[in-house]
Amino acid sequence: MTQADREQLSRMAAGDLGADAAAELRRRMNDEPALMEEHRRLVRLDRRLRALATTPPPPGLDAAVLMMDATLRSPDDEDLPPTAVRVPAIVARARTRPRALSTLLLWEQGARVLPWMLVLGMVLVLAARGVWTAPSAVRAGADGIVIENSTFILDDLRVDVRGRARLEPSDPAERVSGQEREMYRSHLIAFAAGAALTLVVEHGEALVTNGGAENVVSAGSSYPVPQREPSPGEGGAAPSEVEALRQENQRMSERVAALERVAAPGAGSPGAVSPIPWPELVPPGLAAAPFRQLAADAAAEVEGAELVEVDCAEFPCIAVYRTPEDRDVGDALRAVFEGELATGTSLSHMAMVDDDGSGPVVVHVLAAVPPTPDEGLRTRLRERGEAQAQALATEGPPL
Amino acid sequence: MIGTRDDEERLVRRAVEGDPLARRALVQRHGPLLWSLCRRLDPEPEDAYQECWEKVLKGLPRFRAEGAARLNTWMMTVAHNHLVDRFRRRRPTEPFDEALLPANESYGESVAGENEAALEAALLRLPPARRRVLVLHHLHGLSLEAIAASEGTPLGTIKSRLHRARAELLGLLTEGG
Repeated sequence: MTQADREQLSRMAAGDLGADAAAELRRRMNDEPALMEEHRRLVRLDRRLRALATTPPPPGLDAAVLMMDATLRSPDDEDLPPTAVRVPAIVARARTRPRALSTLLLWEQGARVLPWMLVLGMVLVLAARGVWTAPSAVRAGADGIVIENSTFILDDLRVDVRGRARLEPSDPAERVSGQEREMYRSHLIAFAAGAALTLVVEHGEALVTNGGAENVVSAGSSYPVPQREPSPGEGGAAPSEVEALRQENQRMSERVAALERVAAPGAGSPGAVSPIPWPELVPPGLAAAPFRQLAADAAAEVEGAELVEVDCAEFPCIAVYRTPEDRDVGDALRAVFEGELATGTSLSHMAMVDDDGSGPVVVHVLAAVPPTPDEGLRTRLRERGEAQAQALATEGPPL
Repeated sequence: MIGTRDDEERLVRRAVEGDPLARRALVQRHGPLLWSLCRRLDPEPEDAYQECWEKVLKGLPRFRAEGAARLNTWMMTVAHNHLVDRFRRRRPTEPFDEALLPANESYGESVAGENEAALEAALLRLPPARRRVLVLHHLHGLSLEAIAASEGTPLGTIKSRLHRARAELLGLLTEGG
């Protein structure tokens, strides 16, 4: 049974097959029991698809939506950056994820600390609201995590502070540390791994919600945050696990630093990358012939898209289109490619605007790429795309 | 559980006015619908779900309540648009996520009985654009015309995707068995 046969059966079942083709297919079905059986399977498949369950979202997700909604509608927060309102979203997501997610990241955006960290599949939210109006509302200090007039959330623990409070490890031995940031992270990892913390309110008061219980802690008092109970199946964290997480944290920090360097202004001009030869074994989805066909089909299908070239001289093929300055045309091109790409491949799409004298012209460069293209491949694609755009600009307007 | 048309209209009106209870009721009533789309069409369904709700709740004042079915369709269209946006925004390096396949699910074994889990797993193996058409049309009854409009893609292409998706799905289930 071929894919083409199945597609024909599907078209016939939907009434999308011409009368002659349908008659021919029915004749074949009578002669070929396998084809008839496939038709029955298709009908059963449609029924099974309609019967697939519509399940409620994971617990906590709707609550996160409502929190986000409330934040968005709050008149005080109209100028909040989008990240701020995504905080509860991240909380909910992390709670639905397995503990195996062991990433610890500290993101900084200018002087502001983005209000979340992932810790062992849980989330630390630093001053979900206050950090944006008072960036220093939650910060790491040598004496712990200082919270001022803001909210701190870590897994089941929520601390709303009106005034100033400090969250520190209950064990004095754990408070001894060198660099502040390292200590800061260590505390969080320790807490995530099950260590106890103590909240000390310096002035004002704090409302501590932990495991559903609420406690008001007034100035001059402290509140012991109990050791976190491992959730079912989670198990305790061994020192080796904490150490492994520290190392993971270090690796992630280095990765973040590398990404920041790449993202920094002026960092996007790496040296030229050599042409990439075709590999000996090319996955079917990246082969030249089907890509050429896809490129031609897309040009035929999308009005206004002129296929200038399909360059398969090196890996991977790229298709170059010239289109009017109309975003819809680019979107349509992209949609056609996305729809036809083989499983296990992804799409690279660049668009460059040029004015060739006859008005703005957009050059689209599309390529099917491996699932995880490396930096070299991406850079080379960019170079090829820019070269094509440059060549088109030099050529001038089409005749 | 969807209420009557009047009930739905009142609910939408109250939600537009900012009544938190009405907004909560909307989320609870229609959450399964949006979740069904997000978990099947987006590699990060929790994020997608919340963003879809953000779009839906923000766009609610523009919805003209004419009944429960219309609200469902409108929500699906809003969610669909957003999921397509997310898909297009994703970096080109982001591959189809094989990790989405249900954990501990031996694909080859489970398709022998062609059970629901196997069908879900096979669905996730379809390329995203085809999967979108199949899920929206077959699971949720959105018309092909509406899908074509949301995707900004000709109807013929959408039909091709649908037929190709059904054929591929059948093939995947056959291979697995």
